[in-house]
Amino acid sequence: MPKFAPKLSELKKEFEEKPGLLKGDYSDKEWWEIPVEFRDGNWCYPTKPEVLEDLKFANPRKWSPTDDDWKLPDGWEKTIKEGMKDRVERFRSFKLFLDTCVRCGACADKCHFFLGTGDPKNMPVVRAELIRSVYRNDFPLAEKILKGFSGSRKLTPEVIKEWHMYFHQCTECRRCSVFCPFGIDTAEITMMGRELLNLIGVSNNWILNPVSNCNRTGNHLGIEPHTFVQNIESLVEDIEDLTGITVEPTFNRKGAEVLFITPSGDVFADPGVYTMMGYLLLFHHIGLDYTISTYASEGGNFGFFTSNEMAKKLNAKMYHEAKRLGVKWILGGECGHMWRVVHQYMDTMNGPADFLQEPVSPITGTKFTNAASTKMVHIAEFTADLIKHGKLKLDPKRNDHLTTTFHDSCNVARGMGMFDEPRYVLNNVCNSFHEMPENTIREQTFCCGSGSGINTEEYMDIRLRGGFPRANAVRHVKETHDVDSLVTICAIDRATLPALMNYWNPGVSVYGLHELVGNALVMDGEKKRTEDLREDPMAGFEDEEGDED
Amino acid sequence: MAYVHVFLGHFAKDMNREIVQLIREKRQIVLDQWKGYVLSLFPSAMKSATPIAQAIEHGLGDVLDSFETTPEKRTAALSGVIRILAVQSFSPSKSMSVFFALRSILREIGGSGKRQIKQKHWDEFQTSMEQLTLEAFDSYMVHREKIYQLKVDESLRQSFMTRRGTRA
Repeated sequence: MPKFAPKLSELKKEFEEKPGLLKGDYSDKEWWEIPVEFRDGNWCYPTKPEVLEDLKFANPRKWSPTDDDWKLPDGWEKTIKEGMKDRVERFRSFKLFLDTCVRCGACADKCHFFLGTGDPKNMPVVRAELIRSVYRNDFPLAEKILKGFSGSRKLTPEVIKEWHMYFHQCTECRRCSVFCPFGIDTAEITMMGRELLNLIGVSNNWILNPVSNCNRTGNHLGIEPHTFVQNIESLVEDIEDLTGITVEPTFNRKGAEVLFITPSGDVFADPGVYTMMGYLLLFHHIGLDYTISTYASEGGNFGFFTSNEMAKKLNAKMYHEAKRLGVKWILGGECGHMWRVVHQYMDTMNGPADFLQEPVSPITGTKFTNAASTKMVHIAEFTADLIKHGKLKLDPKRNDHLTTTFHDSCNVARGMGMFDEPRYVLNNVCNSFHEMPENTIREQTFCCGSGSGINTEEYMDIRLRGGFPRANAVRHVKETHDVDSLVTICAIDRATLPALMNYWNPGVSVYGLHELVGNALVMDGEKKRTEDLREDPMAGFEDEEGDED
Repeated sequence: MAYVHVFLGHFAKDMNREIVQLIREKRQIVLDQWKGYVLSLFPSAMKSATPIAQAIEHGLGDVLDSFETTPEKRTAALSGVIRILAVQSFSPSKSMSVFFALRSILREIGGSGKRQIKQKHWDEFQTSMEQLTLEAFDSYMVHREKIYQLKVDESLRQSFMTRRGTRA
């Protein structure tokens, strides 16, 4: 008997005493008759009308999830049904996932939102049922005939409210799909659910405002090219102050060998900017011939949380810029969903990139055959290859003030199978790395609880609940190994894990992998280093008395 | 203020020994029932084996053990439980009811069997429990305030370079 398995007496007690679907107020009712309640902390601000107008999306209006009337457009039921029919026909995965589930429940306790909230509609199987129940009412012939026996229901405004609530309590992390015997990917169900909601103007401003910005300027914050350059030049000055080294990034330079694209969070937000400083130091260290685009100035793609078409449109700028600048291949920074889009969709969405070459490291000669199709290499792979070939001068003692663990970002780990490269890099740039428990890392990693565009402050309560399983695993290594630094390779992680750690594990800070690389790099001609890239003192490198800068 | 001072001081130096002894002897039974009550506040599917339930059990156990230790340890133990309750979907009053539930559980367990605890001990214990509940309320507010601070901090981090540029 597993240590934590509930005892029979506990299960009996729960069944008899706790409110549930089969008893009390909800006895004799269907699961979907439990009402959805929107209250502060469990909903995101709806998309502003001007944002929807800018994107030419449906039904721009002022509304709130707490309103009784969501002001759905005339004929919205038809729009949803036709939208579902269209997607069932276009996306075979969607049809398969709707048809094949046998409700075995293997996915149920794998979802971080279910574990963190206990809400049965957060079981992936039930989340998918939110759509399946409508699908069965109108589509498969046998089930249309057997209405009432097949768990089908009519499409009502209450269904839309339920979809909005629970398709935004799924971060598309795909942990459930690892455990599903059929490989059903609930993330794709959620993606379809959100697409359908967008058809009738039910969406979140935190997702669509960045989409609109990205559509206009190339990045989520809407930073204009000159400000984008200014920010990076400001980081260049910081690097010079700390190390005495002047790094020289170039922008929109035609003929560079490599185009470097990273999430814009690395250019404007704390702590992402320190990761950016790490990249810049690394490229200077190896003399990489690279350039940064002020148009392809965003690796992230919130279009991916909106619709297939919008994901494609926002992604297209990567290849456009690579072609315009005439580079040989693309190097990508630390990001989560950017890599899912690049790895699983970009080639067929906007490829083939036959104007680029199969990526070859100009420093080691390594051919990245795994990127032969997309022509885009992940920076963790690139750096791991440099270290493997002894091309970096590293002093891991410079990170001795940090005791680290590593959070596998869902999209990089489960989305593209990258587990060992970041760990290899981390183990070479610091002396104190401790793994979290086995069932919370690698392909079983727990999500930060804020991915897929729900990382907005008004949603903090839900995020803290959904992020609890990840925080709980960090707590374990904090207590057993005094871990104080959570290293990750995702911009949304860097943006959201600080809040999660501050609440559940005060004293644990969040770092990007290449920030630690930047700390450890021994640069030719550098001045004596006493502080890391955050200007925190490095243990064992303090100024001695009488030292001068 | 003087009353408050005496009131607050009471718990630390004089948690009724009879009740402490009862908790020590029946710790697992008390803990099981107390945890059962807390989980009953959650939606129907919050099971005993979930990380949340385990953390709650761990935290409640720490609170029970803290009756024999220092106020600092009790504050830390309370924080461990309240941190979880303060982000849930149920109301603040339901969160605070957790501590009234402990009193009822102990009365029920203490009133059965051979051991009969005298009323005067329960009266003393009642004062201690009121103090514990007030401390729990303080902790609840600290955590709610912290959530608002997290929102502010996150917004500031997002505009880090803009603010830095403005200062320059």
